[in-house]
Amino acid sequence: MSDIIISVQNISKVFPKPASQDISVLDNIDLSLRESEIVCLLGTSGSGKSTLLRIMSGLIKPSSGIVSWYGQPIKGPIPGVSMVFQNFALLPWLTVLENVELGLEANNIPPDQRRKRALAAIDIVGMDGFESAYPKELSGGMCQRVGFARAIVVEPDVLFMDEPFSALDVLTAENLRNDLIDLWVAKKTKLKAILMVTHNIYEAAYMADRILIFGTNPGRIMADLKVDMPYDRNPDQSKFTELVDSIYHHITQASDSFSRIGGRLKPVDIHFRLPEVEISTLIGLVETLHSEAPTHQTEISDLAQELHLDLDDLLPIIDSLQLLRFAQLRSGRVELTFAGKMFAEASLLDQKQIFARQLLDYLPIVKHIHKRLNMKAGHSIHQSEILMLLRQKLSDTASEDVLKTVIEWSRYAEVFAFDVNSGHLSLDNPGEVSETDAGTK
Amino acid sequence: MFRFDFFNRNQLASPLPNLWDFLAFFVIGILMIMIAKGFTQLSGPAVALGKKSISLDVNHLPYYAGRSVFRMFAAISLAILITFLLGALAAKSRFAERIIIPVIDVLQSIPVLAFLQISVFLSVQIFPHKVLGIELAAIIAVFVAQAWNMILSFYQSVKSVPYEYYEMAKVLRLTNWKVFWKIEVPSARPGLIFNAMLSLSASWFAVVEAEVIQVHQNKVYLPGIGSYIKVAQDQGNLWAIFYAMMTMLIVIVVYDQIIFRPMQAWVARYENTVDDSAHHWILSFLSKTAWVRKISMPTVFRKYISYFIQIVSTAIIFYGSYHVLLFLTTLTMPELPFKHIDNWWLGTDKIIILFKLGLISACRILLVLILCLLIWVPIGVYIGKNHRLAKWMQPIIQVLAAFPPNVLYPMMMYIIISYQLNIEIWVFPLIMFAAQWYILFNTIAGMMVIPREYILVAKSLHCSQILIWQKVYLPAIMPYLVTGLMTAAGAAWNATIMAELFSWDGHTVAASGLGAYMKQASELGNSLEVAWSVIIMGFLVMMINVFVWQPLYQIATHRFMSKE
Repeated sequence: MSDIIISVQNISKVFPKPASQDISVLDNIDLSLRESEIVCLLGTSGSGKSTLLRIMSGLIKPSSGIVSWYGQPIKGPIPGVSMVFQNFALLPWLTVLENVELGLEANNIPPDQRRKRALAAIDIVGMDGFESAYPKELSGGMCQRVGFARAIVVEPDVLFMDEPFSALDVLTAENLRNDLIDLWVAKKTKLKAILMVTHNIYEAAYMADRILIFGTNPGRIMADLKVDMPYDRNPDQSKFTELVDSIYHHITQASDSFSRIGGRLKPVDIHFRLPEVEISTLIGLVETLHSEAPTHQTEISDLAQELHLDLDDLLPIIDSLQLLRFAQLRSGRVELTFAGKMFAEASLLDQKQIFARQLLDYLPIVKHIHKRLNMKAGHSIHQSEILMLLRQKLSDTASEDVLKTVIEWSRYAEVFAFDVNSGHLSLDNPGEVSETDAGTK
Repeated sequence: MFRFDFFNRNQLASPLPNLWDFLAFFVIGILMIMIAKGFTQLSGPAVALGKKSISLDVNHLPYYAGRSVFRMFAAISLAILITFLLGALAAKSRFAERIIIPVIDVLQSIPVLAFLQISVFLSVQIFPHKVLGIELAAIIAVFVAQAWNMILSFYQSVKSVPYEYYEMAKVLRLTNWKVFWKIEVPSARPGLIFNAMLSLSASWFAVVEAEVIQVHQNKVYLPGIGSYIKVAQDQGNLWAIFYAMMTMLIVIVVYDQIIFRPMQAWVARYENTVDDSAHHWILSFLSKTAWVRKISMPTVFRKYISYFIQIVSTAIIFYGSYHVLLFLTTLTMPELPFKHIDNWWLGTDKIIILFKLGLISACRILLVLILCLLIWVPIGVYIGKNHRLAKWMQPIIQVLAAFPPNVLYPMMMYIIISYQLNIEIWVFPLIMFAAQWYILFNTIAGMMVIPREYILVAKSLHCSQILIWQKVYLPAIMPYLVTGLMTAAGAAWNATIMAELFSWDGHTVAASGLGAYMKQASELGNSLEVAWSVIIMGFLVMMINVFVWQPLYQIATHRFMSKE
């Protein structure tokens, strides 16, 4: 097409972990950003796409591979790149004007010039009138407009955006997306290209010239889709719906190929990084699927639309259901298994029993804890023992998250009890209150 | 809510100075004269500051109060400077962090007044026979009462600056200097202002106590409220004591009103928690003075005003440095500190006695805290339940808490001595007076943040008052109460040094305790015994911190806070 602005070759990122396995976040990534295109990196959270964005802007160094800016390998942050952050990163103690001027302060621009350019940038994003407001007076959408103004005031070649709309409500995000596309189409700024990270399929389909679909564990590019549609794109166009469906297809394929060997679901190991899903959402989805189509399969894109869920919210729930063998996912469709149907139809108490059986059968970590509790005198162990086990292969925060989910699911299924004050897991029936407890409660 | 200035792009035109400007400059002018006068005295000999140099004439009190305030300002300036240096260093460098933070933890547990004895010894020996040395000792003692929590607060704030801000700074290629002033300092500002306020209220007693200093066989009286009180105490002049108390009260109220409330309101402008004090009257006073606001608002900076301020402050700095230079030229060789100590070991028997005395003081403090809880928690809960009453009481209690107990002590001592009351018992109210406000204050604060729903639920379930106390009020205020207890215990340790031994008009009474021993040793100029009693008191306080307060605090925050 046209000139390459940024290109990356063979980028990998590994976070070293002393005394256990290193955690690989990005694996062997190649991509290039060309002039006059908007590229979206699309994937679920934790797929390393934000890390890639930071590597490409020079904020962090890759473990291996080369990033080049107009053909030159980079060292440190690239001067021609500006960034828009998910949570705006506006300084609360500066006014709108001062926040935007901050972008120019590093460039030794004289104060009156600085003021003039900042005011112009504020005009472009439509925030004139709010120059003396502090961020806390502004709504999220307004804050992000200021974030845009701060990014474009330095007249960058490339704009990087890290989930810029995900902290906003649906209508505000829509409004901001449209305004951004208008700016881009009207060429009101000197931007040559935009690179955006998102987990919102609709957003990617709406804005991108090119969509790169990211797979997890470790992060890698699964597909490179060219979008050949003029702006304003209309979600009702058949071409748009086709695009959305094909994105869903690619994404579910990405997670399919990961969780299956041949046609069968892969059993997970004891260190499996459980998705953080609350028990009530799990049950809710099983029951929804059951009432939707007791016998048929449900299109995942329909499900997402109907439940108003992002890919980021929906996929972990479906993954958990697959993990517990309550449902299975095949080429973009979800279907309840026999256990799933049983569960949906069972009474409250029976549901707990079914859940407990699935937990013990398919989650090695729960099985392990249960075995340890049975072996131990007093039927009680401290949570640190399990954390130690998980930390062998997971990061510290990941281990804590996994343990939290395990405890929540197991408490619901009454597989074991947990006392947050002492940090002990035990086989005690949590319904029975001992004599000493009764005194304090 | 408060008003924001309406932004106008052509607002840079110059308004004429108004009446309020003159008033503000008048106040600033008086402050400058006071500072200048203070400097001229610094180079004089210390002998000039004997007991007779302090006049009990009421007309001199404003000047003495000014000197005390100046001392306070010098100390807080020093504290802020050190906070920026050490706090930033600890937050930035792993190596420095590992040294600075534990050291501060230890220093924090040594009672301030114990420090006073050490700082006197050191600075007086380094600057013998010079007022500057003694002034410095007093300022350092006050500094010690202020600095530690400020440094820790700054360090923690800088540590918790969101990572995104640093990323943003990198993308915008801001220098480290800019990052420090634009990101780190502002983000630490709310915590720092809060802690500075705490420090200042808590350090008034140190100002009062540090003004009379024992140098070898002589007592040196630095001009100030503290010296005034001491002289009045020695002469048994009740009226003078009363005047001093009134002056102190006025100073604290004025100080609180013209410095801290506006600062709080200013922070509230961009902080997310909206504070009602934001439309405080001083802020409106400041916003009425067109010129003063131009100086403090960087967006509308006025050049010639800033030149004027720069010229004046440069002049003051030159004037001050001239006098410091004058002083330095007359400097004699410093004598080594503690030179008359040839044996550092006090002897096992003596140390055991000191430990026993320390335990007596510790038990006394424990009893005082229990008494405070019994009396002030019910009152605090009652005040805190009624939000309007609490809002109304809060500033009053804040001022009372800042009111140095040692200003009130002479009154109480007069009563104790003239009625020949048993000092071992009557020392309790003296210590209580230093400690109780923190408990009351924190109880009210805890009550104020109980979600309304909790109380509504309890009422809808027809819980009795006792049950509501047991299930709602007490658990909810627990974390605040523990914080209050920790602060109160610190204040109580200082109070033991001030209250366990005192004299009135020539009569001296002492309760048994480590505080009394320390004070006596320092008045006799026995530096070895002072050093050992400081070490033992610091050790006891630290042990109590580690084995009592910290576990209690952990439990309170983990069990009784709804979400961290």
